[in-house]
Amino acid sequence: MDTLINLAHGFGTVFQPLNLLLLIVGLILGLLVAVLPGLTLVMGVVLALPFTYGMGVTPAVILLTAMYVSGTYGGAFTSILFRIPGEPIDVPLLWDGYPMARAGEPALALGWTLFAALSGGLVAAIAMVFLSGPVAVVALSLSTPEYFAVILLGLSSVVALGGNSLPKALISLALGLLFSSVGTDPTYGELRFDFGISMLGDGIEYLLVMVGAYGLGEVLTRMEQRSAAVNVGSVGEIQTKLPSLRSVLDIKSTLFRGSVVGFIIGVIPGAGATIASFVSYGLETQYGKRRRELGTGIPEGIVAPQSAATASVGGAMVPLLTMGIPGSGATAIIMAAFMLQGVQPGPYVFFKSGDIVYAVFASVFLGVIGMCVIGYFAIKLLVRVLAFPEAITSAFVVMFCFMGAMASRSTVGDLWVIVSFGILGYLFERFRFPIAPMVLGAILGPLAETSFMTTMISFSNDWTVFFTRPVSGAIMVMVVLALVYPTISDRLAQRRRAQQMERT
Amino acid sequence: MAIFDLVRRSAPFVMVFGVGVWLWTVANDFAIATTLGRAGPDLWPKIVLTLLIGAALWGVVEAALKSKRGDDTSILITNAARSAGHEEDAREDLEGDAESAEKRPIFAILGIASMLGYVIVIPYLGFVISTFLLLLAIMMFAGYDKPLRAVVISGVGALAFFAVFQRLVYVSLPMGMGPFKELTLALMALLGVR
Repeated sequence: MDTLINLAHGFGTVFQPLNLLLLIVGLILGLLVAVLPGLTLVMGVVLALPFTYGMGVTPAVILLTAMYVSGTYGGAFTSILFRIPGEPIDVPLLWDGYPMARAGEPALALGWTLFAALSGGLVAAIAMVFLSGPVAVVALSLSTPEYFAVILLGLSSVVALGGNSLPKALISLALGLLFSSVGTDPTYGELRFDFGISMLGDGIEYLLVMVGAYGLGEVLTRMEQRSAAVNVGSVGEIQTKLPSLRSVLDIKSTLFRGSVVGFIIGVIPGAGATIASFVSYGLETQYGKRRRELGTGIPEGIVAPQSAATASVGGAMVPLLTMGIPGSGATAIIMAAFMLQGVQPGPYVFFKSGDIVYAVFASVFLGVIGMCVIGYFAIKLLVRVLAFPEAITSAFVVMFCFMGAMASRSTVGDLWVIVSFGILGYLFERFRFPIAPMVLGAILGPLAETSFMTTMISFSNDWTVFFTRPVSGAIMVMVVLALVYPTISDRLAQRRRAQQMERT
Repeated sequence: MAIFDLVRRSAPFVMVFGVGVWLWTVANDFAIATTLGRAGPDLWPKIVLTLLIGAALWGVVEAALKSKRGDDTSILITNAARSAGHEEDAREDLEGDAESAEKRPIFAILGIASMLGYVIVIPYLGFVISTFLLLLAIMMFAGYDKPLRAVVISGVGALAFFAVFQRLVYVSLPMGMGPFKELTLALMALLGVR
């Protein structure tokens, strides 16, 4: 009952004029970045971050959460209509959404997407509200060894699930952790890796790592490719047609599966909307009633990935708000928005500043509904954005990145740092190193180090404590499993493939 | 050819390995160090450096063993796409422009040069002119083929950013030197900023 009362207060907070305005702005921006060539969901949220400096924590997080929610939906339009996935999330939509559009039902394909995003988003939002409390209670009982183990689990699953090359992901993570250790050591006050440069003595702000690597790095990569502008042709006929109630009831199991899978995958650090979308489609091909017809343009092929992608947002909010562990690029930035306002998300904030937490919950509910309303009525305008020249977007993205750097400490020196991370981000893209582990390492590095050093000091430098205490020991086993999973899974898949080839 | 390919694939890992070893020697020189029974400020960085160096060595071995470039997609995505019978489609669609477009690193280098140039000239030319030049340079190097329109967009964009910084974000910006400073002051007066 308390949960519902708190949630009602949360809705009251979001309905305050400024917060509501920011929610709408966030939803529109999220839809735009998902459609705009040269911009990704994470990059869009990063670019919005500097504008939150002057806001309170609640409006700031509402803005970014709204962008995150609608960013999982906007790319569906271009996937279905033009076979251009705005985000990797939308790739599975190409397999049934585009064929349905080609078969003369683009409006219905868009209607199924809207329905799936709405239902999946709301189911996950309900699960998020009722599961967060119990998770936060468990998190509250954790001591420093357990907390370190939980952070390690978050970081290792990001590394394990981010890509197939474990060494590259580990290098990315280690670099992020190293960047966070530059400057004055929190325990002894020792200057580390400052190389006599006074600016480095103050440490490297994770914001600069994030904005530089994601924003400038992506622009430089796109400049190298010089993508041509897209011709969207006439958009006069584009509209959304909602499916009938009977057809909705026919696919209720697909919807349920997609929403549950999306939520669970969202909770797992490192496995965000893209993985949710793919896994949900994959499950549909194995367990769906009409699995043999998938790929021909049936609603199940649209509902499964889209409901899971949007549901993953609710799932990703649970570890962020209850334990302070961001599991994806977008939630890392939302966490950064909290921290920039001096609030460290975790179980204490969950119980002591419930007003903020429940406002975030309410913004997920309203965000899901709002994005569908905006998507329904403004689809023609949103699709036109696809034709916007990428070169202009790139130039303004660079300036937004610089703006973020200058606004954080008002020093031109930070521009050097951000350009350096931009170059590093570009090199990462060029040599196919994942950026997300580095960013998460830079954000979670100080927390990881503090909990590690506190444990070492409290337990007389006995490092075995991480393995001998039951809870931290169990989490450490999960860390190892998370790291070996990709290798084992890959081997098993290879063996299955070899067996299949033998049979054929 | 195979040796050239091996060198190309292992070069990033070798470089990371070198950086890791060098940083280890830097960590050795911290004034306070870890001793038996006391965790010092070098302990955490050294744990991370061990991870970095170990991963770099692993990468070198992997590069030597793998004959072809590995797939960089998450294992969960690969497995799901494979079970859906869309493995190839997924790879193509996920890689998108990155693979299909012809790569011309010169434009990325020009982009980097523009950004570095911006940081160098901003104390002298001030925010507005430097920003105008940066916007124009990025647009042109990113392939925008309408120079006149680019000049107008850059000019309007630079003024808009200046106004946002001065009136909304309240950040003090580099004003430039000599006549450029005069120009910045005139613009500030126009915006009503003292």
